[in-house]
Amino acid sequence: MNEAVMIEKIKKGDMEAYEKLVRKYMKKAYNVALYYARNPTDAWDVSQQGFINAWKGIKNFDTESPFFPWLYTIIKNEALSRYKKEKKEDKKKSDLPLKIIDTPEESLEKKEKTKRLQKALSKLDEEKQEIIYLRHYAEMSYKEISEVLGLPEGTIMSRLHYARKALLRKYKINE
Amino acid sequence: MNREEEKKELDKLKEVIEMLEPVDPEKDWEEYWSSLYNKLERNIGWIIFSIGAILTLTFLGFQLIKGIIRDPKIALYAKIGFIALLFGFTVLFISVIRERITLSKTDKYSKEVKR
Repeated sequence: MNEAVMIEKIKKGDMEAYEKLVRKYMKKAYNVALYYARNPTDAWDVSQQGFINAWKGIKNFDTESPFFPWLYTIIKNEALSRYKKEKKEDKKKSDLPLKIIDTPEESLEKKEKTKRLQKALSKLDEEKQEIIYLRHYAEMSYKEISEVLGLPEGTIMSRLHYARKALLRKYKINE
Repeated sequence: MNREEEKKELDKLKEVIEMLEPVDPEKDWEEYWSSLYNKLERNIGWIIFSIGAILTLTFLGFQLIKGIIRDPKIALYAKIGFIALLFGFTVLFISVIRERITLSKTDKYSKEVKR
């Protein structure tokens, strides 16, 4: 089903259509929330509240626009409103949660590499962290990132390139 | 940097990028929609309940005022006192609600920090 058609149905109160839309974006939404909340439990709640707020405000949403950048803004606002200014600073300092590797099948080497990556990511400045997170964890397209950050796609590409290079440098330092 | 070093650098970059994967929650993804649906349902429930409560209380308030005004056994000063009491309560209630709405729209950091 086309997204615009789906949203039109949701505007008329179709819960099944909303379920489809939620299932389509829940992983991306969760990972966006995780970037701002830095905690899996909070990310679960924040992303769900984002979907609730989106559902409440869907009547004002322009059907022609892409849904996810709008949802991203709602989730970001929800996350920021939950954490007072001083606490937000603490959040920035805490490590970005990465894919949990705790199965015995995973090699010790892989676990070490993940830890190193987490350390390297945390040492990047906020702008670089955000762009890497949006692209690789929230799996947003260049177009979506350009919309939410209000920058041209070309700028996003070059910023991402420098962010990846910076990440590699930090990663190699810890090797 | 020569070609060999450049290739090594690119391979390393590829290795790092491949490690950047989306994170899964501690709970199962299947639970996501069901718990979200429950929250949505509760939200709808509260909205309907609030509308119902406002309509019912308004109706009962009018009935009560009508009953008191029409009751010849109740003294006039008691009637005036009771109506003033009810009117004052309504004004206070509306004022508190309006303040809460304004605050929720303007105060970005009004909610408590969740731990």
